[in-house]
Amino acid sequence: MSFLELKGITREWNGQGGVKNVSFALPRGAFMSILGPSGCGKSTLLRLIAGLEQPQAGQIHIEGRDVTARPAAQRNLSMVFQSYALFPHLSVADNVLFGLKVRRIGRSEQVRRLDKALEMTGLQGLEHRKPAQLSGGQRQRVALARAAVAEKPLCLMDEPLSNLDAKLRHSVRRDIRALARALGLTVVYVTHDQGEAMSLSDIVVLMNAGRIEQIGSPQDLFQRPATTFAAQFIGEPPMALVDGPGLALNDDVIAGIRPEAVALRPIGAGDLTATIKDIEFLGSKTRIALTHPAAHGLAAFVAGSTNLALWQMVDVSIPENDRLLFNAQTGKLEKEPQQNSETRIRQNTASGIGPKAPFHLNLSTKPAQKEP
Amino acid sequence: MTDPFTLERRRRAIHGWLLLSPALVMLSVFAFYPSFATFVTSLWSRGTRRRPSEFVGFENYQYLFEDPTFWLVAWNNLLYAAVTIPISITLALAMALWANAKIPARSFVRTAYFTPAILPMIAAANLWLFFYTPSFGILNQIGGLLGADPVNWLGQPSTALWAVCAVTIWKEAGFFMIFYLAALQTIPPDLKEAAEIEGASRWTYLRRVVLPLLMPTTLFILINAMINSVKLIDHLFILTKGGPSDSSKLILYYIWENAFAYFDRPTAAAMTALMLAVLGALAAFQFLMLDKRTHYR
Ligand SMILES: Nc1ncnc2c1ncn2[C@@H]1O[C@H](COP(=O)(O)OP(=O)(O)O)[C@@H](O)[C@H]1O
Ligand SMILES: [Mg+2]
Repeated sequence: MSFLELKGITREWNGQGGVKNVSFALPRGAFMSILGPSGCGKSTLLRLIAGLEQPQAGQIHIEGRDVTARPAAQRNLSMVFQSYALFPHLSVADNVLFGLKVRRIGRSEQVRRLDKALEMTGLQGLEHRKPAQLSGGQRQRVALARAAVAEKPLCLMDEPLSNLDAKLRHSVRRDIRALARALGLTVVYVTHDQGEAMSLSDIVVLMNAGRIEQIGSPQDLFQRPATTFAAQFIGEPPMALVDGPGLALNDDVIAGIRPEAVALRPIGAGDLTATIKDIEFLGSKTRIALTHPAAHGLAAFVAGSTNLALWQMVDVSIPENDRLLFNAQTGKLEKEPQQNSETRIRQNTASGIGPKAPFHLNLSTKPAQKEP
Repeated sequence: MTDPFTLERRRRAIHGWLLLSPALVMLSVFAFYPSFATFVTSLWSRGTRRRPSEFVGFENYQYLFEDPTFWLVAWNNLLYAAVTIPISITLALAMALWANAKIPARSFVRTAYFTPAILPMIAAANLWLFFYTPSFGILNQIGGLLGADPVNWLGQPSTALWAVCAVTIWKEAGFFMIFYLAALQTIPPDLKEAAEIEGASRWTYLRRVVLPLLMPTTLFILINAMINSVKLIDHLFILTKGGPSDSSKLILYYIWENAFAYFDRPTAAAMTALMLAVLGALAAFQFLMLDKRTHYR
């Protein structure tokens, strides 16, 4: 039986915003991310689960109990707020212990849980500080510790890392994962950062404009995006979309292709002739951004560095086996890649155009062309 | 002597004094000097045409302490403060909490509460004079409907002081509410949600989170209310003139009487000096003691 289940949850403001008809089920101990662009209803969904917001339709079940009409305190969950919501007048220890004191948990039990939580979050020695005397990362960890001492089976987190700098984000991300595992928590984690969602979660719920676009494992979302929206949201850079006619296909399909599967070819040897719009050196590889009238977000990777020039014309090959076909009207996925695309992508980048590939020399001797 | 370090220090000192001087001049002329002059006056006897005033030391204070009216007035003022301060602050907090909640016609409620604070005290007193008027005043008419005997609220010693207190509370609560309302609006709403998830009831949230966060405001209001309990006597002139038989007379009114009705300036000065000393001590106590236990953001 699933641990957390939402059935047809709807909450809108005057028919706008919020979430519409959201359903999913989550097993105990799973780490689920709610992913989507800003304003798509992620926080609203989390607040509905928490009981801080009431649905207009639908039911929420936690541990098999219908909690739709229950207040937040009776839902047996903890929450980490985006702003951390620490009490500014209380010390770190009092902030962490707030809930235990409210619930009149015994003194020795309080001390035991406080010590454990402070140790897990690395906050020992800061017990007597006020939140104003802590750094952003430390405040964030106080918020985590407060959720941890509650020892509730379900923990909700609303963009807990969005106020941290990039480096800290990576380390706290691992801490969160470790904490969830150590406590056996079921986590619902809201984020707009696909990197966080993909690396942390067992299940990702991708949302768009208040609706669920796709639910699946990170691998599923990456390899089999259910819609063109998912295709263009997941991946760094995301999938390129090419209108059917551009690839000699019917005009009722759109082809999607991962940049990892796109290969550069000499003029005349590929499927499309595109213009180089941008060259981004990333260290071990170089990202080439391309423009073509029939394509959106077309890009390719070249191993190492390159001596291709900006505005130069190149051919790209879009291997048929790696193409995903979407319905041009509904945007739904119609045909998956033919074989395990991961192996194919690996082959492609391996055998693809390194600096030593013969046609590459050919290309680089051509004079750079300016786009008309 | 002219090493750059000394020069720089001197330059900074001059800057400091220049920045300080406007406030210092104003305070000296309008606060420090008058206080000092008052104290000096209180040490001299009352001058008449025949006997010019002479230095008498603390004799004026001695007379004051032997004057039963002074003790009655001091006691009245103490009662007045003890009743009006806690009640008006509690009312202000309650009204602010209510006006800050999601209620219909919120701005109307806020305006309605604040209106008494806009009225001049004299106007407010005149308004309440109608409420208190024997037999056809509103209070007695309502009482009459309920079958109660008419009461001359302002005309009898047992009720006059309480009637005066009621006007002050009515006037001050709305004013203090504005401060509480402003402070409440700086509390982020997610603190309430965090407390809610932790299982805190509304009352627990109020006691453990809201009230501590409002402490700086409360301290500010408390000092203001205390000063007002001595300062705000305009309504006495309209309502009771301190009577009947001094039952509603407050210190400042008594000082005014001594200075400008009986022309006994040394006695008035002695009382003023005492009052200043007590108020100063109280303010110092509040700032020093309560400040330590107050959380400022
Ligand atoms: N209390 C509210 N009143 C009106 N509209 C709201 C409210 N809360 C959220 N919304 C709307 O619902 C949509 C989703 O908001 P939210 O869940 O906060 O998005 P996000 O995915 O960025 O967390 C937004 O368009 C927002 O304007
Ligand atoms: Mg949000």
